[in-house]
This record gives sequence, C-alpha cells and structure tokens, in this order.
Amino acid sequence: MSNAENAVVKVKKVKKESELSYWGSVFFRFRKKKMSMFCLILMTLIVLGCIFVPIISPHTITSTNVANMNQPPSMTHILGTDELGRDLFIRFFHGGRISLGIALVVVVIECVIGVILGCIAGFYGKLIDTIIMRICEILMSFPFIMFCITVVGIFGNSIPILIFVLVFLGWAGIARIVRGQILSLRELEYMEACEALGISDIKRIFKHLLPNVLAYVIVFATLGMASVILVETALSFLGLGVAPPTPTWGNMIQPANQFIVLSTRWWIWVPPGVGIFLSVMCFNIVGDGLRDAIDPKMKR
Amino acid sequence: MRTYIIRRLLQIIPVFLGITVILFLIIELSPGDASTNFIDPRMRPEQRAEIARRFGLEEPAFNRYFIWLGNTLRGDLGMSMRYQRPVTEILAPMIPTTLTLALLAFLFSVIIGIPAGIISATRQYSLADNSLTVFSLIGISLPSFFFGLILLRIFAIQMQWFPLFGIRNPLYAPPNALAGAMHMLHHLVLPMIVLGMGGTATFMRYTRSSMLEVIRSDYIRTARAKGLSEKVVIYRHALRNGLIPIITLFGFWIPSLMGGAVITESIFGIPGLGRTAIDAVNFRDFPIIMAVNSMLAFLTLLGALISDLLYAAADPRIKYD
Repeated sequence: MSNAENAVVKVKKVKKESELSYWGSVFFRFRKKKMSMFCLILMTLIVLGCIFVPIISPHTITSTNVANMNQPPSMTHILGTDELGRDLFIRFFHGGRISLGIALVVVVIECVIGVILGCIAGFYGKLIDTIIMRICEILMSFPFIMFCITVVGIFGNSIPILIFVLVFLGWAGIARIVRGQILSLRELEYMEACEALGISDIKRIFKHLLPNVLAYVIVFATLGMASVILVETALSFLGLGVAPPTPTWGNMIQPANQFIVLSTRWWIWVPPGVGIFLSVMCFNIVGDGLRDAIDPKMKR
Repeated sequence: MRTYIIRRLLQIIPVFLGITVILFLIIELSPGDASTNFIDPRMRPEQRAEIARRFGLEEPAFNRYFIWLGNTLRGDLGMSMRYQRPVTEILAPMIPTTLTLALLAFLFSVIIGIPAGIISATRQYSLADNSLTVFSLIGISLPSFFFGLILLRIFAIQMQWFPLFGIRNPLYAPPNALAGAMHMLHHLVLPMIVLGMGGTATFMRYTRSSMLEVIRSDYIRTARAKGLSEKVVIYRHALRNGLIPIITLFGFWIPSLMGGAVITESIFGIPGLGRTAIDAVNFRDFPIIMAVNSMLAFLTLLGALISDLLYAAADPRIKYD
C-alpha cells in the first residue's frame, strides 16, 4: 500500500460523507469511533435480550421452588436461583425489561413535554417565557433524590408514581435546552421568510424550528436514559421504587443488604448490578458519541 | 457586584417559596399521615379530633402552610409526629455527620479528580489519558449503591480492613479525642470513596476538557514561544484559566453530594440526615420530611449562588451589573 493509494481512499471517503444526508453524515462520523459503535451494539444486544429471553426461556419469573433455593449457577439455572428458588437468569432479563422500560417511558414523556414547552417559551417570549422558565428554575432547584423518595414513599411504591415523579422533575432540563436553541434560531432570516409567507405559528414551530433542535433532543434523551436508569434502580434498591415481586435491576440487589447474601451468594446481587452498569455506560458513551458526531465543532 | 449579590439573593426567595408550596401540596394530597398510626377505627370522633389537635391538623391546609412558614423562618421546624420532640432537636446531631461525610467526599473528588484531569489533558491520547478516561466513564456509570456493596464485600468482609456498618463501634471507648476522630474516620473511608466517586469522575472530565481548550489558546503559545518551561506554562499560566469552569462546578455539586449522601448513608448504616429522612418518609412524619426537603432545597439554591459568586471572583473578565 503506497501513501498515494491511502490518500485516494481518504479523498473518496470525504467525498462520500459530503454526499450523505444530514443524519447519514452524523452516522458516518459516529461510526468512526470504535468505542461508540461497540457500545451501540452492546446496548442493542442487552435490549434484544430483555425482549426475547423472557419469551423463550423455559422458566417463569414467579415459579418458586422450595427444594431449589439459593443454588449457585448451573446448567439448568444459568445465573442460579434466589431465596425462593426462582430462576435468576430470566429474572435478570425481566428486571432489565422493567428498568429499561421505565427509563424509556420517562425519557419519551419528558422530551415531549420539554420540547413543547421549550418551543412555546422560546418562540413567544415575553410573559409566557418568564413563567415557563421560572417554573423550570423551581423544578431544577428541587433536591432530586430526596424529593423522589418523599413522593414515592408517601404515595406508595408503584411504577406510575415513579414515572410521574421522574417526569415531573425531568422535563425542565430539556425545555431549557430547546428554548435556548429556539431563541437563536428565531432570529435567522428563514424565519423571517416564513413570517412573510404567512405560515401559521404551529407550522413554523414544528416544521421549521423543531427539526433544527432535534439533534439536541436526541443527545439529551440518550444521556437521560442513563441517568433515569441510575435513579430508578437506586430508589428501587432503597425499597422506594418498584416493589417486589416485580423484578427490576434495582430491587434485585436489595437482598445484598443481608450479610449472608452479600458475603456468600454473589450470583444474586452481582449480575443485576453489572446489568445496570453496562447499560448506563452504553447510553453514556453512545450519547457522547452522538453529541460529537452531531456537532463536529465540539470534536477534539 | 454588590447589587448583583442582593438581586440574586432576592431571586432565591420566590423559588424557595415555590418549592415549599409544591412540597406542602404533595404532602397535603397524600393519603393519611403520621396521626393515622395512632388512630384506631374504634375511636370516638372526639378522640380523633383530639389526636388531630395534638398534631396541629385542625386548621385548614392553607392556614397551616403559613403557620409552618412563619415558624420555620423563626427557626422552629415543628414537632416530629413520631417522636413528639422538636424536629430541630432530632436533626441537630445528624447534620455534623452528614456534613463530615459530604466534605470528605468532596475533598476526595477534588484531590483525585483535578490532578487526574490535568494529567489527562497534558498528555492527550497517551496511555495515561486513555486509561483515566476509561476510569472516569466507569465512575460515572457505576451505580453508587452497587459500588458500595462491592467495596463492602471486598474490603470489609474479605479483607476486613474496614468496618461493615455505622460510624462507631459501641464497644470501643476512645482514650482521647484524636483517637475518637480517627475511629470515626476509619468508618468513613468506604462511604467517602462511594460518595466521592461520581464527583471524582465528573471533575476529571471537566478539568480535562477545559484544560485542553485553554492549552490550545494563543497566550499559551506565546508563553511557550517565550521559552518558558512546560511546568510553568501548564501550572502557572494554563491552570488559572483552566480551573475557572471547575470552580463553578463546586457550587452545583452541593446538591449532588447531599442526594448521594442519602443513598450512601443507607448502605453503610450511617446515622445522618439521609437515613433519618428515609425513616421519616416511611413513617409519614411530615414535619421532618418538610424540614429535610426544604433544607436540601435551600442548599441547592445556595450552591447555585455560590457558583456564580465564585465565578465572578475567579474571573475578573466577568462583569455583573
């Protein structure tokens, strides 16, 4: 391989990127980072596992077996069994379903609310902007963990309440980002052209402004998944999130509060912890990679 | 500058009131309260009224909020429903424990995170940089309660280097104050690492990116062109500007520390604010819940204010009016 040949290959690649669509070139830049790509694949595997393993496994999450308690990993029970003789392999993936599912629902709802209110605040400005931003400021000054504990503790452990409290505090972050972007986009010439053409406000916001902030929303959502997983599992671990017997990665670690489980039965509490760690790390790295790919100015 | 501080202080007031109103509303909407624990279905109505009176529940919610607010501003946080003792008396011994833990964790993060960030930035893409970056990613992604359990398993159960639980051994009578402090520090080593881990990773990431930005600026090139040694360039010239964003992070880090303390305290069985608050939530002891939540909200607001002021103090280019 001569240097000249390498150079030709490079030129070809650059040319290729310039021909791609916006999202095509984002993915082109994203793919160049091996770490981000690796994490994207790992994340996909975890998600697929959480969807399909509970369907194809011969065990069920609730079937208990007193004769088969606290068994270490074996061929029939790949991750062993817990104190009620339930198969931990399927509980691991079922817990992942709940943890990832809650995170997804929370992030989607908070993005929808945050984007709509952020757009309204940024587009209309004045009094409505002041009101929305003041509410955001109040929500962002809440003591996050303590407030979640308070609400879930008072209203009882249930998934809808957990989702409600996480969304309630979470939408302010994305609303502020969207508002900031809209504020600067609003002043551009093409928006003036929109106004001159007599396009309605709603169309101007959602058709002409929103696509330009979508990239920021996607990055926020990816990194948001990571932080919601962390908070949900921490609350469930404290017994103030999802209540057993519904498994989540958080409450599956709870038995480790007992000395005997912590010291001798690693297969009960280590796998869910690793599950949380891996999925949070994947979302963090993919989110960072996406941010660098979307905004090449930030790239180092 | 002075008008700016006064204006910021005044801005805190509506936000703080907003938070307390929302908290109060949520508590008001909740089914039952601590007095429910004392009510027997067979009680006569007058007995129930007597219990409601004793807990200060006979007024309408609207009035009770203002009573609470007035008392709080005078430093009276009310009576704990569970213990029938003033909330201030219950929380007072907890605060030093939590603050000690938070301060230790903060120092741990700063002492490890910032130098690691500087090393990373000055040797970009070297082996040291890459491994430190991986470490910081792990630090951000590892759930603190799981990390705490791993540390307990390895260093408290396997190695037996550190105690498993609490902040002091009830059977141990320290001969002097120094030994007592050392005894407590020994108990706080693992909690400090767990609580400080997130901060270490975050400070490292911010230091690295901010230093990288500064190192590429013109005045650093000038300093190098003058023939200054690399040490002087980095530690005298680059560091001063590079650390400005980190200083602003300090204030914002206060709420994260307090939130993390809640989780850390419950893993390590440390009798601090966090554990008390969780107990209070489980018992629906509303005066304690209100007190802890508003205290943490106040700290959050204070943290943001401190950030802005530190920013202004550290960077003379910033002008406030």
